[in-house]
Order: sequence, then C-alpha cells, then structure tokens
Amino acid sequence: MAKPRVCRMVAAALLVGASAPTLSGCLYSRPPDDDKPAGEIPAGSLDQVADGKITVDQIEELVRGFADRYYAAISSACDALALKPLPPETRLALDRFQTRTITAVYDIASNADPFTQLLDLTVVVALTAISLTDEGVAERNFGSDAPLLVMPLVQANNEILEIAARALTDEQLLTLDLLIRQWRKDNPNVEVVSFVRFDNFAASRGKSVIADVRAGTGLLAPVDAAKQALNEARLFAERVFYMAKRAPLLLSMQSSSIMSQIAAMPEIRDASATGVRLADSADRISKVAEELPTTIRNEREAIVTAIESSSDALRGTLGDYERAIGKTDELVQSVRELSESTNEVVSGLDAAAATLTGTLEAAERVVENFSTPVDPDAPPAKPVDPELYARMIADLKGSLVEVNKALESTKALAEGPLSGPIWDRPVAEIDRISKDRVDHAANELRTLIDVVFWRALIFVGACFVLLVLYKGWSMRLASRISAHPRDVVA
Amino acid sequence: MKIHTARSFPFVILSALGACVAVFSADGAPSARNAIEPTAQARTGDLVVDGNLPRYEPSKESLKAKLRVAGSSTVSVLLDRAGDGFKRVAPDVSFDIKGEGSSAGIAALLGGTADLVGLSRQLSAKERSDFQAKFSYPPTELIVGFDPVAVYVRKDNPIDSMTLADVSAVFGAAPSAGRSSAKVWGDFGLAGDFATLPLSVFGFRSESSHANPLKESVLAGGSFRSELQMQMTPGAIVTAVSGTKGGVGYLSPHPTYASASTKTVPLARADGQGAVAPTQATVSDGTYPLNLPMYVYINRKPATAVPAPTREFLTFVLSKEGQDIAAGQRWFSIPASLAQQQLAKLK
Repeated sequence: MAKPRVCRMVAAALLVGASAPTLSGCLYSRPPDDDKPAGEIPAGSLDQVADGKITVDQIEELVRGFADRYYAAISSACDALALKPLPPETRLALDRFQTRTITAVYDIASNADPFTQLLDLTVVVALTAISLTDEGVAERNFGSDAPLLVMPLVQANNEILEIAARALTDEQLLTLDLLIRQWRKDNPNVEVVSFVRFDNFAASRGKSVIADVRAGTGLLAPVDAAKQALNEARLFAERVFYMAKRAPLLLSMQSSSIMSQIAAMPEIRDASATGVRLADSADRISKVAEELPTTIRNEREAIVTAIESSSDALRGTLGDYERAIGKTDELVQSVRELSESTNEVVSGLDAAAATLTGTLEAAERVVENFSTPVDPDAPPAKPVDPELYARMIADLKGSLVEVNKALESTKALAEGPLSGPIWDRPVAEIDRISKDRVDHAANELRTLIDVVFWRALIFVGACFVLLVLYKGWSMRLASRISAHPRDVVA
Repeated sequence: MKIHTARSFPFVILSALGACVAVFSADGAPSARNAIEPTAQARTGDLVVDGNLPRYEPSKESLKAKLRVAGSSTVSVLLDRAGDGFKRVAPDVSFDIKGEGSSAGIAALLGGTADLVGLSRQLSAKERSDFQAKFSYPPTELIVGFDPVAVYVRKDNPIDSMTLADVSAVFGAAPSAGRSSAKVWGDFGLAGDFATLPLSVFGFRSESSHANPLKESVLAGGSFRSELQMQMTPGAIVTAVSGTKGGVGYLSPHPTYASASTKTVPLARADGQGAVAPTQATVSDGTYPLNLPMYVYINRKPATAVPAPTREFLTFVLSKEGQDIAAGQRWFSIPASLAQQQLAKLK
C-alpha cells in the first residue's frame, strides 16, 4: 500500500518541479492588473521576499511546526478527556477524532506543495473547530469538560490563520475564511471534515474565487531552474523523513483507536459487564473471606456452647444408640442362623424332588409299555419282559429310598432347632428395639423442650434486666432535662 | 529472547492492525471527498437581494479604458469582484485596483490619480472642504453596499439588547462619557451565573482594516481595550465566541457567519430607543445602528457627463447583477429605492 503513496509523492514532487515558476515565492497582494504577464511580477527569491512576507521554504517550516504543535495540543486534550468516565461510544468517537485529525494533519504537512499544505491545513483546522465548537459537538459529548478540547481548537485555528496571514493578503484570508464557512453551510452533514481539502471548494465556489486565493502564490520570484530542482529534491527527502519519523505516533494512535473500537463492540461490552459482575462477586467473596475467621470463631463458640448445653442429652442418646446397635448385632446373628437352616431344608427338598421325579419317570415307562399302540411293522412284543420288570422294580426301590430321605429331612426340619423358638426370638427383639426407639424419641423430645424452656427463661430474664436499666436511664435523663433544658436543646 | 518476542507480539499485531486502519482511512478519504456535492455558483447566503433592483443593460457604446480604483481595502475588494463581473460584458475595460486605505484613496481623489475612490466611511468635513477648495465643487458620493457590524454572544447568554454606549463599554479602552469598560456581564444587568461571569472579548487585530469600522463608528476613533483577544478572521471570532462562555465579539451579521452556538445582539442607538436586530431589511432602511454604508467617490465636474466606462461600471455595481455579487461575498445589498437615488447622481 505504501508504493502508490510514494508514487504520489514522487509525482507531486515532479509537479512541483514543473510548476516551479508559479511556486517559488509567495504573494501578499493581488496583481495590480490581470493583464500583466507573469514575467513582470515583482521579483523576489526563495530566500528573500519583500515586505516581511515569507518564502515557500518558510511556509513549509511553519506548517510542519504547526502540525507538531497541533498534534501535541489535540493529544493532550484527548488524554485529559480520556481520564473522564466516558461511555464506550464517546471514547471511541474521541479516539477516532484524534486519529483522523492527526493523520490528516500529518498527511497534509507531508504534501509536496507548501502552499497547498498551508491552504489545506487552514481548511482542516478551521472545519474541525467549526464542527466541534460552533456546532456544539464537543459540548454535547463532553458537557462541562468540553473546554478541555474546545480551547486548544480555538487557539490552533487562530494560529494557523496567523501563519496563513503571512502568505496571504487580508482580503485573501477573508475570502478563504468565507469559503470555509460557505462550504460548511453547503455540506452540514459531512461529519468527518478532516478529509476535506481546499480543492473541494472548487466544486462549489467557481474557479475565479479559488484562483484568487491560489493567486496568493502569484507574485512569484523567478528562480534558477537548477536551484529549483535542487530545492525540490531536498524538500522531497525532508518530507519522507518527516513522515517516517511520525509514523510510530500515528500507528500508536490507530492502535488505541482499534482498542476503543473493540471495547465499544456489543459482545465486548457484554463481556465487560460480565467481568464487572465477576469483579463484584470477587469483592463479595473477598469480604466473606475477610470475615471468615471471625465467623468461624463465632460459629465454633456457638457450637461449643450448644454442645455443652446439650451434652447430657447427647450422652444419653449415644448410649441408646450403642445399645440398639448391640441388639441389632444379635438379631443379625439370629437371621444368619435362620438363613443357614433354611438352606439345608431347601437342599433336602431338592434331593427328594429329584428322587420323586425319577420314580415317576420309571412308573411312566411301565405304563408306556401297556399303553403304546402296536406297530404293524414291529416285531411282536413279548407279553411279559422279565428284564423290563426287573429295571422298573430297581428304579422304584431307588425312588422310595430317596422319598424316605426327603421325608426324613423334612421331619428333621420340622423338629429341628429352627422350629418354633427361633422365629419367636427375632420378632421379640424387633419389637423390643422399636419400643426402645419410641422411648428414646420421647426422651429426646423432653430434653428439647427442657432446653427451649431454659433458653426462653434466660431471654425473659435478660429482657427484664434491660427494661430495668432503660427505666433507670430514662428517669435520669428526665431529671437532667428538667434541670438544664437549654443545654439539652443545644 | 523468547520472552522479548512474546512481549513484542501484541504490539506487532496492533501495529499491523493500525497500518491496516491507516490504509483503510487513506482509501476512505476519496469517498469523503466524493461526498461533497457541487452547489450553485451564485449564492448570497441567506440574504435576499431586492428583486426590484434594475437589471444591467450593456451599453451600446464601445467601452475601452483602464479604470483606476483606490481607497479602503474592503470597498476596493467589492469593486474588484464587481469588476470581474463587469468585464464579461465589457471585456475591453480593465482595472487598476489599489486598496491601500482610506487616506491613500482620498489623496488619489484629490490628486486626480484615481477614477473611483472607495471608502468604508463618509468623507469628513475637512476632507470635503479640501476637495471643495481644490475643485470648487463637491465630490460625487454614491452608496454601493453595506458592511454592517454586529455584536455576537453565545446563545446561552441571556442578554437581549445593547446600546451603542454598551458596545463601546465592551470593546473600547476609553468608553463613552460616564461609562467604564465592562468587566462582568452583571454590568449589563445580567443575573445568575452571568452576574459575575467575566467578559471574554474577541475582535480583529487592530492593524486590520476590518477593525476600522467599529473604531470609527462606535469608539470615536479610540483604541480597543487591552483585553481584546485578536482573531485573524470573522470565522475565527465566531469560533472563539462559541467556545467561550461569556464570550463576545464583533463581525459582520452576514448569514454565512451564523452558527448554532451564537446569536447577534439587537442594538439601540441610545437608552430608551428600540433595539434592532441586524437583518437585510433593517440594514437597508438604516434602522440598524451599525449598518455602515460603503461609499464610492468620483470627481465629476457639474454639468458634465460622467465618463462612459466609469458610469457604466457604477451602473453595473448598482444593478441586480452587481448587488448579487456583493451579497454573495460578505456584504449586504442596497434596496432598489436607494439604488435609483444613486443612479440619478450619474445622469
């Protein structure tokens, strides 16, 4: 992006060189006769101009000096305003104003043509002052702090006019002033005036008036072409260094402007609000943390007091729990024994059931032999198979043995240690424990009622003492009032 | 080294962003310029030039001359601007304009080295008598426009009128008899915050020709008070008054200098007389006390015709076309009736 700019500057320098005959001196009064050729214009030189007016070099020097002073004044004013509690939008507007204005001023100050520098700078400074001061923009944004910015603008406006007055006649200066005012009236909605240049007026004011002001350079000194070229080369190099030295300032301002722009974005504002809330929460937590030792001490004292006041009840309760736990252990043991006995019974019943199943299967096989339909293709069955009967009898004997075993086991279960008393004991234990819990709850309730009663009694006692003290104090005060009424009123 | 790089990183990023903004801003500049719309070339601010003023009819005579103009810089500029317009209809007429001041102009009138002498005041009795003594007839005097002066204050200033003596007390080092320089606005009867608010007085640098009208018309030739803060242009005075609570300044009441933050104060010639605001009507009819006519004097021998180039040029100046030019600058035009009276002096 810098390349076109350099090209522009080179082109501008060439233009200056080409227009040397019209730019090498300065005018302080209108030519007495429009018909008079340029060659007859009163002579001067780049270094010496008659009647106290200034040279082109001096214009450039003054303009650059002014640009630096303007930067300092605007920056100081903006810094002072930035210390005030401004809304993000106003802060952003302030940063943008500063960045745009200073950038524009340095852009103008590095222009190749000193007279254009002067005219453009006069235009920008005057329009900036008009916008912020005459039109009340500064007062609307900064209220009673507006003079921090307005006064430097007013002073700067007059200062650049003083410089312009050294290159222009009074009438030319008034014409320039009039052009600026009339342009503003024609363009009241242009908010960013820092990009307006003197040439813009040509569009609205007719070339003759512009030419008249530009003719401020009309009484020009004829100069040697070689000297002119040398001067232009030197001035070009100076302009490059001038702008380069100020680039960091401009970058810094633009960075600041970006930060303000980011801060004014809605998302960032929300985040800031959240940050504020977090900060509030942190403050509250900090306060709690600061108060924590005191709170802990108070709580600990309160707990100790409460424990001491109810230690007897607690001891009783703990004893009850210990006893209850011991009885529960007995119950658990009983239940475990019951479970083991039941397992044995179930195992016996399973074996008996298996034996019975085998017996029934054997019986079914016997029955099958008598009920199976005759297969016409099968060999004729034997009317009596001795082997089959022998196997059936053996199975039946086995089943009967198993049934006997099962019956014995069942009898043992019914008559064993788990019968009768073993079921009565746990039930009795559970009844007893429940009764103990009910009794314990009743005791606890009584203890609690006792505590509340005593606390209420203490509270009533304290109130009584306070009432007695209050009564005594009021009587004393009443007697004092009656003795020294003026003192009391005073 | 890593730490250094890490610390530099945000700056590098911001610098790069800044450069982008700079480039963006630079690219945006032309669009702002393009937003400036051309407007009509002929404009008179918000002033309305009398539509009954005579239209200029170019002479059928062949006009070829170089008119020599001298006198005050202000009137010389008016004649110069009008001369630019006149040359369109009389291209063979050229001008030699020397706005070197009233004294030089009067000397040129007496010495016969100027065809027209512009003054922002009337000739004094002595100057008239000098002319009379030399030529045995009085100079011919014409009013060609008005260059009124108004007093500006901020709009929040509650003052609603002033007399010329008050104006003298505001701006003069030695005000009128019985008055002293005003220090605070309470000196004019203002109450509240303004009762003790000091005056901040703004005006032209005293060496400027534009400081003269007020000095001559109100300060009786006296000097401005030392506290006066000199500004370079009328616009700078408006800005200074706008930005200063308690500010007061003097400049033309031309609508071009009107601003949202300032107002002009109606003026009365003396106590008990009605105060008049500066408008085209009150300036033209002379009811506004500081309407300050602009004069042109010519040396015309009685019973002789005015030279054609001079007559035609002055006729142009007094025409609608000429008065449009005057109002398009910072002056007030003359009404048709006054123009007719002036034109009669040229016949």
